[in-house]
Amino acid sequence: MTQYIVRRLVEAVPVLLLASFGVFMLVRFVPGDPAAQLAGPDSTPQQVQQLREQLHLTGNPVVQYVHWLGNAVQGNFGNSLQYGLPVAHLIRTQMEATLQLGIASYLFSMILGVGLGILAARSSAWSFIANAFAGLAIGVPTFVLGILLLVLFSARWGILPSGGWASFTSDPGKALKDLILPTVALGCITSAVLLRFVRASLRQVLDNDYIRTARAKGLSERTVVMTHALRNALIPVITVSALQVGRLLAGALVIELVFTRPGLGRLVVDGVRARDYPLIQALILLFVLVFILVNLVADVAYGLVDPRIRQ
Amino acid sequence: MTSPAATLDDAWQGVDQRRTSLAGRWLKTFVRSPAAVVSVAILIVLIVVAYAVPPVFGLDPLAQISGARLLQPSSAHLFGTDELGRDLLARCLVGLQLSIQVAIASAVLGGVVGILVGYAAAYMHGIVDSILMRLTDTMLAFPNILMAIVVVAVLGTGVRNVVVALAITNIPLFARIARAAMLSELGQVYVEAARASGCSPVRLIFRHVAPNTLTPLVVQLALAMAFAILGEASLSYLGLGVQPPNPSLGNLLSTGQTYILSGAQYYVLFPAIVLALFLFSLNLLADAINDFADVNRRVR
Repeated sequence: MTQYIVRRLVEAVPVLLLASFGVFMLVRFVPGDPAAQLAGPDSTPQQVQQLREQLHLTGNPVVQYVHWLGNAVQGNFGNSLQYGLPVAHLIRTQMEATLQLGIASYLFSMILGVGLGILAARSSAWSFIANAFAGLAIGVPTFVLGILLLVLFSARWGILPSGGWASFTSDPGKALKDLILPTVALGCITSAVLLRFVRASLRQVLDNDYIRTARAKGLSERTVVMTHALRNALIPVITVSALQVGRLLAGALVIELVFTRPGLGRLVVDGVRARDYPLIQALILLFVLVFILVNLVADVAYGLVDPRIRQ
Repeated sequence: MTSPAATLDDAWQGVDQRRTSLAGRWLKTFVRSPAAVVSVAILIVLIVVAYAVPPVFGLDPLAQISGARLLQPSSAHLFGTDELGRDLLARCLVGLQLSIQVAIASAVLGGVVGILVGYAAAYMHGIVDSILMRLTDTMLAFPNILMAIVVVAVLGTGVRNVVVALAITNIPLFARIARAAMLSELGQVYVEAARASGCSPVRLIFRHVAPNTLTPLVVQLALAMAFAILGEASLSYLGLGVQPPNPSLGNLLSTGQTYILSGAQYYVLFPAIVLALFLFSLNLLADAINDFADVNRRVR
């Protein structure tokens, strides 16, 4: 098993290097002279030159990349152009809000998706409900769903806050209340994807001979489904749910703006609007790292539950 | 025993008949599928309304009517008016026009590039295939919308850059699908026959093989348009796409959202419904094409 993990880690290195080089080169792909554009028309040539150096636009790209990567590995991405603060500091302060939302919506979508999937695999009435839910969840974009939830729960009924954020350590009650709407808005589409997958996977497993044997020896339907079938049916779901983490992260970018929450999404959008390249580069690299890690975890988990894959 | 000529003649007639009846069968299965009919009907209505209603009724999305700020929907303004006294019906419909144009442009642009990449990868295989597929894999590892944001970060905001961003985001999936379809066709006997009769690679790919790879690509085209509409709306919502005063479904939603709590809930409602309806019917259409293509494959 250790060998398997090490091999997967080694395989991830070239992808990460390629991606980081792509991220580094982003600024050089900007049409025109980004340093001159950022410095504005009233700037002196010295200021433009200084900015050019700050963006690693001078000299040999490969040398500059190695230099940039060396700093990046130590968590040093330079200073944000719009805030003047170290990028790493900005990311650290905004991370918690996004993490909260990400974890909450992952749990929400897992519970709803797997639960509905199990029900739908065995009853046509539930399957109909599940289809209706999935059709709606996939048809209505995440941020539109968020806005509609705001209209109903905040504006009409005034039950839940329209935005805001609190840390779980300082005010758990407010943190939970602020999380409900964004979590539902973000998690619905993921749970729809999971539900379809769980249903298909479970139906397939329920057709197996060993399930017939289990039923024939008089086990209750509950035991057959929950302990015999579900265990095998959930193996592919692990991978799919891990891949959904990337989607959740991308959705969080937009949902954070809908619910005026702080977080990495707001940081990305503000960064792109202000052309704050050091900030954008660091954030994209962070996302790439997370995606690669999540895929790795999915593979390893897959190997853990299914020994055949390790070979 | 029949003469060879007679058998050939019979065979030819068989082919010909099958071809004519196949087209008929396509249409018949399509019309019989309620999902296909409903989705096409909704799409046609949306497109006609978006392009015909503003000029016919003289609606101007930018005209500000004094003293008509944030009016509730009424017979004079079916969707109400916005914070500057502009007619929201006009703004919604012009935004819808923009969505349709962005969807078609980016899906076609991304589709053409992606299909060419996919065909090239399948036909040349070996090292070219490996490199191209590693590249598409890396691109696919990114969630779509993040990919589009990255491109906008490089190119800047605005409609043209949004089209480019969404087109680039569409490339890898088209490439994958085109490659898979091409690969499965390249093993067929008719390809060998065409090669043996001295057909050039370009003619072989585009004349003989390409038509047989179209079905999954048409499905993907519908899905790519749905994604492009969602992508444009999201980017404009984030303030990275269409810039005010020009309307887009996305920026109508973001402006409208600020008036939710002050009672102007109709503001976001109409763009949201139009957007959801459009996406819903495109997804339905993609499903329907997929289903009836399956049926035809089975019949064939």
